[in-house]
Amino acid sequence: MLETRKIDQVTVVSLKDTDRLNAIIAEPVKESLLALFQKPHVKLAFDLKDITFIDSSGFGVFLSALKAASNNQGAFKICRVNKEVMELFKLLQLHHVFEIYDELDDCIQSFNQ
Amino acid sequence: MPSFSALSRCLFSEKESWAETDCSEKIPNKNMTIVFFIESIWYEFPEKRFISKNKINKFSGHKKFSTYCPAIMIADLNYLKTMSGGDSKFIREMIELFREQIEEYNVVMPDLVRRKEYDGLSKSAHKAKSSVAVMGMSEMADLLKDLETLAREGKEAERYEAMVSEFLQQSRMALEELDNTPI
Repeated sequence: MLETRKIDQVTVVSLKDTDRLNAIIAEPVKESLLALFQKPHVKLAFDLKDITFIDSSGFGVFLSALKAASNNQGAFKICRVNKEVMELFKLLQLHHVFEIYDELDDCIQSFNQ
Repeated sequence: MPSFSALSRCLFSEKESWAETDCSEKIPNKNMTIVFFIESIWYEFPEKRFISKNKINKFSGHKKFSTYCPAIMIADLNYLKTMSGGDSKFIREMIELFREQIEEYNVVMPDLVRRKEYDGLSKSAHKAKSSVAVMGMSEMADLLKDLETLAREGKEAERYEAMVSEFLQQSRMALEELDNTPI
């Protein structure tokens, strides 16, 4: 479900074999993300490249991840959001809540600033 | 007492719209003297504005204030319900996020006013505007838009403290309301 790789000190996650983050996969994705944040000071970038749709349960996953990061001195950021998905972030005013980057490199570098 | 309690909650520039709500028949005798009396208290004693819902419920005998008259709720979740297709889990997440944001604004904004950091205050108001808009608090969104503009231009600085205080107080009341509202 989740593909995980490490770049510098940042854990980069992306969804495997799907272009949608919806209620069908939200719960296992959430569990995997929360497991990653069990250690303190985790820096995690969620790469949304190729994701074309996120529903409310998907946004709920991001909110849970953000909370888990904040509770454990970690950081959760998002990158490579496509135009349609970005519109959804904006409709929910969540673009003010999450740190969102156009490029993965910029996102990774931002953790070191 | 239920009428007084309910009435006092919606008098902030809401006299006319109150008369159009389903609760209008609950105003005792529709006596506008009462309206002006409560309104004068509202403006003269801002620290007394916040009435615990428990107290209201105790006096009114109603289990939930919001069920007494939904038309006067501060927050309106219709937007979130529409956007999420009624996903209550998501809506609860958004309310919790709003609670955390208010806690943060509660510390940051009064401090920015004290330190006369008006640029920071403007940016903070801009961000807060989005938070309250999602919660359907349109009056607060308008207030924060005004604060954002005024603070950016450094105009009418004497109003900032009252505006921040109003925003924080209304937000706390909205959260209390939401805690007692079934989603």
